[in-house]
Amino acid sequence: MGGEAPEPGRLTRALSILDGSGVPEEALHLVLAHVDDPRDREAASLACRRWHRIDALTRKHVTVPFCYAVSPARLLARFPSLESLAVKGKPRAAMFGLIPDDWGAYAQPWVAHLAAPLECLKALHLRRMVVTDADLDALVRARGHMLQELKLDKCSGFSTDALRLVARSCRSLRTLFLEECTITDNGTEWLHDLAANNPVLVTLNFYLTYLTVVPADLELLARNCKSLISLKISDCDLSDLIGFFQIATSLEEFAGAEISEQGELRKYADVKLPSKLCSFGLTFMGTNEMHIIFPFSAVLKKLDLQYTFLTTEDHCQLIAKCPNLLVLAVRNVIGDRGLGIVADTCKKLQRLRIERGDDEPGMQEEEGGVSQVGLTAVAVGCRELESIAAYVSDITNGALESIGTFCKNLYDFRIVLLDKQERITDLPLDNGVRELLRGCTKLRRFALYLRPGGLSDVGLSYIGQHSGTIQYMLLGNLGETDGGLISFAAGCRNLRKLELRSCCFSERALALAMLQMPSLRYVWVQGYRASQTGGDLMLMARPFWNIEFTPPSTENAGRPMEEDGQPCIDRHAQVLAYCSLIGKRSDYPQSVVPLHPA
Amino acid sequence: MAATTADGSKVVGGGEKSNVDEESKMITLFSSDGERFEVTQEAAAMSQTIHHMMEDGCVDDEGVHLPNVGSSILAMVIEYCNRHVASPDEKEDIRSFDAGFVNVEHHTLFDIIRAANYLDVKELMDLCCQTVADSIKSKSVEEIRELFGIVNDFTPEEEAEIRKENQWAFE
Repeated sequence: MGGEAPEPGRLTRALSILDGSGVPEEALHLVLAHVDDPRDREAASLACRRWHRIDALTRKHVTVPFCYAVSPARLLARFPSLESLAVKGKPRAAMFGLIPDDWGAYAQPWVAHLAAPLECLKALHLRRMVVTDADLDALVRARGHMLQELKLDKCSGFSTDALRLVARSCRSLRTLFLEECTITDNGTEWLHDLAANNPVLVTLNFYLTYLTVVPADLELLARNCKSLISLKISDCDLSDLIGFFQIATSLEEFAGAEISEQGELRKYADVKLPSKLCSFGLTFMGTNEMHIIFPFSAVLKKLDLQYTFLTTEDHCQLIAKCPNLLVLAVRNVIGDRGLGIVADTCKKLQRLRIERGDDEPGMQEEEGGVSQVGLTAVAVGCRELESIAAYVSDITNGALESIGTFCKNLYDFRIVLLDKQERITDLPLDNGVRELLRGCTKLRRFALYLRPGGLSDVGLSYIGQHSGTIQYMLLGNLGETDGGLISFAAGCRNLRKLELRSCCFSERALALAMLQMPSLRYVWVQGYRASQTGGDLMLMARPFWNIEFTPPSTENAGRPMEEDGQPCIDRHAQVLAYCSLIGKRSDYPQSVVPLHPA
Repeated sequence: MAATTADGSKVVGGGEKSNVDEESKMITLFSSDGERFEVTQEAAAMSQTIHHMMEDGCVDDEGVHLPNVGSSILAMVIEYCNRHVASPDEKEDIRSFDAGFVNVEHHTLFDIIRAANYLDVKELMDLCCQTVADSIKSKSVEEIRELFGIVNDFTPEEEAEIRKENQWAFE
């Protein structure tokens, strides 16, 4: 007898045979393997026990957003087949010297408990953690044969001896990332070993480390690692790399090296960069050297000019030749004029970073400094922007409004108003901020650092009200009274991570505000009206919420209170509070007082 | 001799009826419930399972028995393979066909996935798995349970622990 032809179209769900147990095991495995979004994975993992198990077994990558939120053992119990793991440690403030060296975030327990049992692990990414040679030794012993990706991102505590071990034992390594790590330099052999033993290396990054480089080792690297497409190194004169560039014909991305003698045209005349290069950065490059970029400026996708000696005019000339830029990083010497060129030329621009230049008198470039003029131009001209981070000298509501109107793809927006200029054109920025948040509906990360008077309590409440799906915020010098903070907090439904700096709020207001944010799992505060003991912070004490307190400096201890009876704003005091499944940590330093759990 | 059933919908091979005794371009497939399907070798070869059998000379005059695949599902798989073999380069048409093809109930999709897995038709498997995965996108837990008819077998404590892990510990 013939079977029926299949019935297309959706039937109603009344059929009782359609229960979860009817879903075949292998089908669910295959289906979940196609689910990548972490939020979808979260939902799937809660459906029932079977879905939970299959999600756990098919999830390739997990990020632990804060190392003290959970134990390695718990991670192992849930995700025994994990292939890729990222763990984040110290607060971001560590990048600005605000976190003591002995603060914590040690990689040791993670490596000790996971390196061996996670038998499928081939990628490890640690950010702002303390990693010792012994840790890397243990990692390599357990996983060296399989390790494809090792990223130590702004980590410290290890030496080139450990790198030698990695170089000799991890033959499958495709990515070695060490950017901005503090590494004890015991010699250059590690690079030689890496070049000699790792033929499949694709990405090597030791940018912004202070490791010594031997050009011959780089040439060996180029010869042996035919797949190498990205190299970012520490300092080494560009003229020593002539040989390297001749051999590394597949190279697409390069940064680091330096022009140690500006204006020495003959020295750099023979430098010929590989033809496929589309991402470039060169330290101390000056007006006389920037022509190096001209031959491939038209295909350039990423350009890093943060460490160059280029003037505003240089920026204008150079960027005018780069219509295909996707990522641009500069210092504010680019000026509004340079940003105008960016707006006219770089129509595909996705990420723009404008770092602060040297603020010392006499060091400032003439046209240096970026204002609402440049920002507005960029907003109007570069509609594909997804990420903007800028130090500005002046700003207006209108500029922020323009960003809200035109930059619909923005998911990361950060602005810091520099102290240099005494009078800012248009403060407070309440309305501009509101319009920006209303317009940029895809925003996930938001940072706003102004000055007293920069944003009123009303403006702060706007941020909360229009926070939408923002998950991370850094707010500095905003608001006027505790009331502003409370009304801000009332609006933040999806905020997960908050950093507050130099704010006028009391401990009581901080505690009450934190209680109002349902998704908040991490808050860091520095520079606020701290009491000696942090007593009022206990208002937010609750299960699974750790509160760590760094008391104010002793010099403030004897100071009189402000007029309103509140302590004055202390720069030394810090509060770190976070959701944790493991209770009080056992490795906190002397300077930190665990308030809860006590 | 190739057989056809009364309604004609079973002969889904695109080519002419030909004598299976000869070196022909047709191959016969039998579903688990004994239904007979004529398919071109080219379409059949989209199944790596059948492809390997053909290469290894394991396909006899009678054809290939597929005890794991029922007739209604096998008919759909064959329809897919025929369509993809016929005009593989016409991307718009194929996309449109695929979209209509997967517009069926979840339990049917799961059956197709199972069959495509057994028959090793990678493109079909990816298509169906992606479709089901897409239906999970942006759904809440409750919606997922509703959609798949899942019974929540967590205790309240277990569920609370997982929620905490999801929100605080693991991204």
